Amino acid sequence: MTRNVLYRQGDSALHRLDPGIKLCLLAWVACSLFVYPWPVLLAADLLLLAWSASLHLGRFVALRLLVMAGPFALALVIIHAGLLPAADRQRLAALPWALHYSPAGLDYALLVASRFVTFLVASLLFVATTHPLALLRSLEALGVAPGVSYLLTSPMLLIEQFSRRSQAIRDSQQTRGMNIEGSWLTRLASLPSLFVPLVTLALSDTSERARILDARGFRHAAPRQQATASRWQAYARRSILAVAVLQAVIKSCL
Amino acid sequence: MPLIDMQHLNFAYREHAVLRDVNLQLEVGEHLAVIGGNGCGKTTFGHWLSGRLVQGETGNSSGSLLIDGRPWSAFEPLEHARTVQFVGQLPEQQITGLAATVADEVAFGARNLGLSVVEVDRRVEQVLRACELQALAQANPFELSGGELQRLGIGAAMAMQPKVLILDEPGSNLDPASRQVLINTLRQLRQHTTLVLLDVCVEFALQLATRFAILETGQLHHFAEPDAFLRAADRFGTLTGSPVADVGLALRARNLRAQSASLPTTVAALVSELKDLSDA
Amino acid sequence: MKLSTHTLTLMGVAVTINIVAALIGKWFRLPIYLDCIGTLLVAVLQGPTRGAVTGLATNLLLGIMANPMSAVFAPVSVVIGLSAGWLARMGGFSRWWYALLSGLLISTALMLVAVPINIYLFGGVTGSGTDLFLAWLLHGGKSLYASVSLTIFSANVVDKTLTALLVWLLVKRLPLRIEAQYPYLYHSHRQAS
Repeated sequence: MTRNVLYRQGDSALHRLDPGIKLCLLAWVACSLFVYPWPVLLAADLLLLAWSASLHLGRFVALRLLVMAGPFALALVIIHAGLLPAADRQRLAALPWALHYSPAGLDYALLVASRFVTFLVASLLFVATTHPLALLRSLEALGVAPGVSYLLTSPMLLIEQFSRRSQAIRDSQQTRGMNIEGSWLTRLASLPSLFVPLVTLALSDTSERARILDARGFRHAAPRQQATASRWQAYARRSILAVAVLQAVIKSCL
Repeated sequence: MPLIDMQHLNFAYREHAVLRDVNLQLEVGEHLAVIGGNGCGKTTFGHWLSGRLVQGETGNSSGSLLIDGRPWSAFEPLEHARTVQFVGQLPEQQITGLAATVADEVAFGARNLGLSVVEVDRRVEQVLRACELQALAQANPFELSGGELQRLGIGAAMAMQPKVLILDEPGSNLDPASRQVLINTLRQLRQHTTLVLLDVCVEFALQLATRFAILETGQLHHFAEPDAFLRAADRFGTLTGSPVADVGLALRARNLRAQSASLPTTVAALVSELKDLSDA
Repeated sequence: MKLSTHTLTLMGVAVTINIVAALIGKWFRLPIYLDCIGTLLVAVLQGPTRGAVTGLATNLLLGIMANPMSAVFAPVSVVIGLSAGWLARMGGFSRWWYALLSGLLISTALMLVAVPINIYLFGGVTGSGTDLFLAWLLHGGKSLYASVSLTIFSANVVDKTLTALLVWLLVKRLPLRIEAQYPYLYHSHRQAS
């Protein structure tokens, strides 16, 4: 499973912080995106990037930022500052061949880009320092239903098995003539040869797995000493969410 | 009052009758082997017994099944889980898909029973040792071989310490050495655990069962003694019999041994018979 | 809404198929994602609500595991599940040409949800190759809303139509013992010849 997640092992304070609190911090960041102007968000981005570097996650975050945010930001600027019609269009420089741009469009593009970058960096820090299973245990401790936890945990554990099974089906079907190298029509026509056995096997497993889960008492767990979150963690979560709501209220009143 | 009391069970899936007038009374601690060929209805019988038919496959049924004097519908889910565990034929279908390690898989059901952490850990250690899975405790269940998965499925069921353990072809994916390990494991079952073995061959039955039955054309034929059971198995001709018993039957068919003499069920007993013959 | 364990395991498997399907798509080198095949399957087998939950879970999980931005588009997956389930109820997966039409309708439905999300949160831009098509439309004088709508529809129509067709074939070929577990399939089989 570890190959399929963004989690990076570590022992920093952020790694050790309760996943529930981290989720609330992420929610606070999401709310802040619509409160603060882009210069503030960009400054926050620089701080977050510096923090990720101190956590030895600098390369991890920077690479993904480049791949996901780079083209996005560029497209934003071109489209909003360059292509969309605007009343304030002006020359970029005092040259006859200079491009025209819209300052308002550029401002908007920078706002959207900074929101994207801020949320992306904060999310990457979250997923890099929070193992998915730890997050789900934390949610269970907060009272989230076992069914929800199952829905998010089970696929993480099944992905590798399914990938291997898909490869095995692909290999055996290829010996029976399935063609994934021919024309696009041939390849398209071959799709069912892989999906039909994969899905049929999966559905067959489903009823058995459900039977096993019920047989082992799934979702009927007897009350036991759950790892309940500490009081200060509960205060911290509520405080963070309160700040998020408060800043939105203040912004809307101004 | 018997632990399991099945009376005149009839079950048909659509037009196809699977079980006909099946009767069974099992006491606490009895070990029953039900032998039958492929497609004879053993798995369906096992599902009925465990109270967990697949959704949509209830078909047409009549008759009654009482566990400790009550129908399955009167059992709460956790009580049901404590009472019976069914381990199916296909090993990869016997894991929950919720555990990252073998140890977690074994512990999953025990945790749901509300046991203390100490008790859960104790059961896990006991089961891992009994099923020879200690070295694989931290392994990913999806990366185990068929035989290892089969031992894991049985181990996870044993960790629940059910009153009734139903195993469907438990040795099908195991090599001879692993089959013997499993037989030794099942011999360690708690004294008051009722065991029901569903199988196509008699190896496990002869080593573990105290009662025998053959499922043929939807009907369950009971035998109290292994001798009568093996002779009937030969008559039914639907089984891959024990090689040892087959030799014993062949000797009797050729009048080299008295028909009334008990059939050998172990290699040692067969060797003794053959030695008697050569001395005679 | 308390879901049965069987439904939960089906949805868990469907989410897994959604995630693995992208890998399979790469093997075939086709310009389709197939990343909602599990969502459509659950919608056809068990109805719109369960299909929607499958879509939601897929996006949330991808957000935790692979791409944090996937979580933002969870409403789109919810709409895919809902519309597929409603279409299945009306027999939209009972014949192959109905499935094609269902794919078109699903593409339209998701466009209605994806466009506002895309414009409001991302300025209409995705950072992928479709931005070139968007730029071309804008340069041709179309409004941002119309351009983003056309871009999203074009990017999804082939994928969703083929996915719907594939799901039609999958449910058509299901063994009887599996079919019997999903009464909602009646809607997809009642008109089939």
